[in-house]
Amino acid sequence: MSETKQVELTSKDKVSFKVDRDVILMSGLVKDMLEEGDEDETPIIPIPNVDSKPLQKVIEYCQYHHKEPAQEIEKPLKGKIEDVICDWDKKFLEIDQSLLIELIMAANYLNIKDLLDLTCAKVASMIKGKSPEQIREMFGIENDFTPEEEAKIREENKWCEEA
Amino acid sequence: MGQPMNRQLQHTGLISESVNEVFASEDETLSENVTISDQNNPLFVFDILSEIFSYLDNFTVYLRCVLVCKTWRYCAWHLLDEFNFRYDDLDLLFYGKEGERIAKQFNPSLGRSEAVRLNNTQMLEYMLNLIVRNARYLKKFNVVGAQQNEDIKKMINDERIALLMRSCSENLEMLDLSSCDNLKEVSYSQILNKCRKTLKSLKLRCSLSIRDTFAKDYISTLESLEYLNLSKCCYIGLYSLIPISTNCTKLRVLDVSGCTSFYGFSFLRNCTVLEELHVQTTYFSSDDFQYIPNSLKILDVQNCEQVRRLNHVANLEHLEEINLSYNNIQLEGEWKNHVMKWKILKAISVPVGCELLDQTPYLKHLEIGFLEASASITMLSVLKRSHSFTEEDSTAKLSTNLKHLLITDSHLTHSFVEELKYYCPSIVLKTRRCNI
Repeated sequence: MSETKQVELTSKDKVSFKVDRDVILMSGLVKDMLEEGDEDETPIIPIPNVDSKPLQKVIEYCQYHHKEPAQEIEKPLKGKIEDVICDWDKKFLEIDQSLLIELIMAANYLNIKDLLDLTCAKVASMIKGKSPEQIREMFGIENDFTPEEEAKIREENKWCEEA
Repeated sequence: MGQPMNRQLQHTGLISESVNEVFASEDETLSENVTISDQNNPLFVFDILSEIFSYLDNFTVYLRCVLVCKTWRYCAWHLLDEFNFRYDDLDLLFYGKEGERIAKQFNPSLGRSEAVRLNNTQMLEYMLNLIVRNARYLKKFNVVGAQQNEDIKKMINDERIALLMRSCSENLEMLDLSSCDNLKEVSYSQILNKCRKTLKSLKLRCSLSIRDTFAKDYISTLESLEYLNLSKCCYIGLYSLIPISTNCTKLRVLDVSGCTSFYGFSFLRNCTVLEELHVQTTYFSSDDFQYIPNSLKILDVQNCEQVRRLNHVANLEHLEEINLSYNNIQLEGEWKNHVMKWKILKAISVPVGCELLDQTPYLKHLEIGFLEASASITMLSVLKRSHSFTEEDSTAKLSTNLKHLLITDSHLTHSFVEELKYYCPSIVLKTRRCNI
């Protein structure tokens, strides 16, 4: 490992990214693949489940955090997530919700624990203090309870929901 | 059930079936299969949802997330394997101004702090009702702080225990019902009957309705029991402790502190794998040390009037931690030939506290108290004599095993403190109620 070896990642929409090997080793999936394969000059690793936009974000995260390990986020969250993470992460999370969801998928697929923790904590932080209806609306989740079920649940939860 | 979680929830027989079970136990109208609106949405992947929920407090998960959709509902109840019922849980949800605002909204006629308290209590009770009906995957149920909180104490009643026993499967491993003294025997018998095979840890501190005959009939049948705490259960006696000692063969920790309706601890010889014993404030006597099995590592015999001599303690070769505080102990000739391997010694208000140090060169942690000024000097010389590795000349610094020293209720001289700092720089000294 005298000189910085590189790896080429190809996204679902066929965009290539060259990344330092050390950086992308934060991904458990890539790490496993590199260990299996033979030592090419610049191995090409297809990431068929992840689009270029979230993939770029993932790489950005790894480039920062492979030197600057992320601090563990306390469970359960005491306030908003922005109160407990570093400035870099705060800025990193200033993204729209669809990209956040894609990032969770990517972190899960690529097996990058710290990124998964960060993004899941962000979603948790968004859920806090919201009513079930607001949560559904925010994440576009379909209410799949039947009207009878819902009536019954609503009756049970009358005063909590209003909160 | 309890299957690998790293996959989408799908319409497989297995998952649907367990979903039905979860719902059926709580609400019979919720009997349809889970439908998944978007296969690629991580908010429907079990693993990811469980990670998200892990950052949320119980209230948000069990009062709100369970109402979002069937998948979330299923996932939330599936994840409920441990529930600690405690009052301060609420602080996470309702704190500061928001808490007050919500409380006032529901109880507009009350004053602010009274409204907050009432609102919190109602929320807590409501959550408990949901939990006891949906405990299918529950393994640990702990009630924390019932002793200090009347509201919590009242909420744990026979009706809810019956619901809990109906909804939980035979998986329950840990149960803490300390100070829940509104329960009748029938509740305990339901629990212990259902969880006879699986219960490993049972804490019933201050459970005033537990009688000796009951403990014999039920507790002694718990074949997996490893931890048993019956402290301050005032009716517990030998009628139950003897069969418990013979039948619960895996018992590693026993706490009968404050049980004063019996004397004679010879039953302890049956507990062959016992590692931890608490008999604080009981009629435990010097002679009872001989019945303690050799496997013991931690022993708390503080405040036992009948503990006067330590002769039999010398045989406990695996003992690492002992609390002898508030006992009027005398050391006899034979004892002084032994070297004990203790790492932690608590000997507050023990007349021979300092002398004990001569036999305990491996101590890492020492608590001692009610010392005269002269006694502290004795202690320093014993430390120099028995606890140091090197002493090349009289001014050299010493290296000791001892790292933590707590002195309480004593008159200490400046020179003692200075000398200790100088000779034993590795010792962290803490004092409590001391004049220096």
